[in-house]
Amino acid sequence: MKSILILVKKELKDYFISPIAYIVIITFLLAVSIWFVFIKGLFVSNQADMRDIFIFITQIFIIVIPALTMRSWAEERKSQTLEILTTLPISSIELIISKFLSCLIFVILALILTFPIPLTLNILGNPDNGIIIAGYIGLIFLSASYIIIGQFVSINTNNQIVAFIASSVIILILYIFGEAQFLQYFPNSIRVIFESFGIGSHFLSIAKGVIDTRDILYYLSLILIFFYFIYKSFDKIKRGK
Amino acid sequence: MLEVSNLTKIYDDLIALDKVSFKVNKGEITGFLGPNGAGKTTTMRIITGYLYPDKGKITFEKKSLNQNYKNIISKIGYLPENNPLYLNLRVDEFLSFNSKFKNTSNKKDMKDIIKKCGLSKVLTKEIDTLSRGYKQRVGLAKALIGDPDYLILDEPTEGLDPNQKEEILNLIKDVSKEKTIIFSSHVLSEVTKIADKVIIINEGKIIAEGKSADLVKEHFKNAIIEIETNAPFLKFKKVIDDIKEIKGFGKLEKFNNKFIKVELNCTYPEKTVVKLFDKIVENKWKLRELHTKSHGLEELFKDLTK
Repeated sequence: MKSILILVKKELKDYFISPIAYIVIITFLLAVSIWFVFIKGLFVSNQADMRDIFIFITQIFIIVIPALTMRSWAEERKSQTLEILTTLPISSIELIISKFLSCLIFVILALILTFPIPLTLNILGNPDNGIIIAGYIGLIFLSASYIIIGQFVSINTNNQIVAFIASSVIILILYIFGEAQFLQYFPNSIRVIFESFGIGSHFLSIAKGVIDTRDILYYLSLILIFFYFIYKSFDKIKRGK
Repeated sequence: MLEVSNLTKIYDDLIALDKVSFKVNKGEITGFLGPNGAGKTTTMRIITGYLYPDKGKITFEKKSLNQNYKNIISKIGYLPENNPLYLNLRVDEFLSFNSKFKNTSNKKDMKDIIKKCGLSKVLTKEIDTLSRGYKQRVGLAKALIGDPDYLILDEPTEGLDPNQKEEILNLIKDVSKEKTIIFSSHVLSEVTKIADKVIIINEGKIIAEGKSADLVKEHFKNAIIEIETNAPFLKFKKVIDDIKEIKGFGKLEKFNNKFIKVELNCTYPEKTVVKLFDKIVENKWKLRELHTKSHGLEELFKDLTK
């Protein structure tokens, strides 16, 4: 546990040293703010809820999160600093958890910075804060899934650009699986299968304030599966293959 | 004691290590030699836990690395090949990060390492801005953190100027009394200078192991005598044939002024030199040079790895 804390601290420091993290976070906040005020039309729509903005965040995260995860392993591989980490007295699992947690904490910080939105809604209207909190919890699960996919791609390459593009594409495909525009082309029997894999569709009911265990289980399963894939990829590196 | 038994590592079709076995005792500095791609770095990477072996076993004080991974790794100080560092960190931040994993918060020890490695002046500088020599010192300081029982140093003097090399070699020698040290180098004079024993590896196999002087003596059974004289070659050859200790000719150079310079392979060099000198005087030949030439680790290395 102590090793995880030390590594998380170091990783978070790395995020804040790097200009990419600031660019990503500022771009994210600007995009969300512009969308909230101008595109959604806060003062026109006359609705005090965050459902649409949450869905917008799930979409913008398809680019934002790979931009954060692209360097987590790829950079270590490219600069050979993975040899420093691997020869520290820590286990592979602790190392993977540390990388994952530090990125998740960074994303949660970015989400916390959107607090002026619910604050504004509470000042101007009477939103259901329970739904807003459920939405944020759902976003954390969804972000965790995006992160673990991004880190899985990152550990399998030493090129950050490749990691960024490949992660975005994989997440986008998983996202599209649950989208109505995509599902309309398939018969019901196949539609159900695709929908169950849709990373965004599992968020829809959470955004409505319903925390369904099936949705949470979906995200947890995705996290565990990709965690295992990262572990196997790390094992492959240690085998020199 | 560090013991490596039957270590085997295969990359695709390439056998990087083929049943490598050796022991390194406490307080001993072992020089690890071999041409590029011989398997030195792979061996060091396996010993330090960076790579898994395909076969074989590594034990530290008879405890298996696999079964006591964290405990053993915390006792190893490692300087990897090419010395990778977190370039965006300051020197003090990097050392502090590593010290947290070695359970050492002793500021006096850290100060001692910083002083020993000559890093006091650059402590608050970003590693990226440092010269190659300073970066190497940072890597070495990292390896020394936590007073490790085992030091594995992959080319520790790479990129250093002669004075810095001297300092680092003295430092390794200085800390060696209580530690088990393996270091690799391409500079054989460095190895001869500080290593108690050498291991020569080639194409994944250990081809020589022992004290460098013993290895040289064992490998080169004959000594070499170098002589420069104006003796006519045929007459000189006849004289040589009469001395039974001389086993044959080595290098031969002829000069315009009728002098020849010959290397002679022989047993009992001291006795042979006296006999040769007597013959030269007897024949009234002029003598410019007559001395025994000793073989070194370099000749041994070249001979074994060619």
